[in-house]
Amino acid sequence: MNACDIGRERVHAHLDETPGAALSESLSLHFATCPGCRELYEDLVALRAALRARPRPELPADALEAVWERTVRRPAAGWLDGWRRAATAAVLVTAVSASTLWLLRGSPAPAGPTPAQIALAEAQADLVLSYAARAIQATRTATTHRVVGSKISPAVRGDVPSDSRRR
Amino acid sequence: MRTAHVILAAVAALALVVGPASAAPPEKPAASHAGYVDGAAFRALIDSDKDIVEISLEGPTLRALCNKKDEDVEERELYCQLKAIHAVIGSVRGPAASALTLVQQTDQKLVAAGWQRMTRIKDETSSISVLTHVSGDQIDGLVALIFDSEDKELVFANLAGAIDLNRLGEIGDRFDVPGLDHIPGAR
Repeated sequence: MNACDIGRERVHAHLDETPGAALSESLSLHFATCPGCRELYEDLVALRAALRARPRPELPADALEAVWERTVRRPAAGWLDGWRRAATAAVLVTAVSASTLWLLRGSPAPAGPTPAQIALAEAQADLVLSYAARAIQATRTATTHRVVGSKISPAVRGDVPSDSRRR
Repeated sequence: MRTAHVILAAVAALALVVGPASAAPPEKPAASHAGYVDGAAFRALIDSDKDIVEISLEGPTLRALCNKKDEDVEERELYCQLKAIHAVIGSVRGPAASALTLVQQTDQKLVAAGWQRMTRIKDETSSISVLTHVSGDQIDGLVALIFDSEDKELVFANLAGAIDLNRLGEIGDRFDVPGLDHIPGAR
């Protein structure tokens, strides 16, 4: 048999809020008309009595002390010990360094040149390098033809014009 | 506890050393480089009504060329060493003599400023000067001045940064740029 919804709430409220107290008059009247709620009440009273009747083993004193030591007392004694302190300091140092880095770098770096700009730059660079390379090549050619070819070689061969010979 | 302190000290030292070090210092302007020569005077001589090629590559653009995934490793290495590439190429306005004078004056000014003249070739219609700037044992600047008085074509080219002349010559041979054959001695 099932208890009604309202009666179930009143039964639980009575057992939780006034344990061991006598039934109120209104609850007694409700039980008279609702056998399901009365049965629920009697079952819960029997259950509570059975649980309270079970033996209670004594907790060893040192076990209680050990629990206190590991839970309540330890955090209060050293929340900033060891690794925790090292980790906190490391985080602080890293944060300070990152801030310094950010300040030194200033605004974010602008985006690099686009592929089209790179291609154009490469063509322009090739042109300038070409001119520079040709100028260097001209130096070599001039050295070979004009100096070695027309002046030094004739001198070595003894072909120096008579009018330029030292008298 | 001791281990924790050691780790803490290591993290702190690393953060303090690596942090500021990894913050790249602001890049110096290319114009402050010893091998940089301003080509503004040549730009003023160029006839604006005709074709002008004005090139100025430095900073991020040169780095992009340096980092380009390219088969030509030698060319990339050359770009990686350079701080600036700039040039003015075009036809001069007015008499050719004034351009030739400016070329000669620039040549003399650079020599007076410690640049070394590598080449000065002059024939009936053309002149070519190559000057280099040397710091220690390293060439760190190159200026090429080419002028053809017949068609009044002027080339001012400046490379600033470490330059390997042999490599530059080798790379230059590979480029096939039309119109360069008229450079005296370059045939």
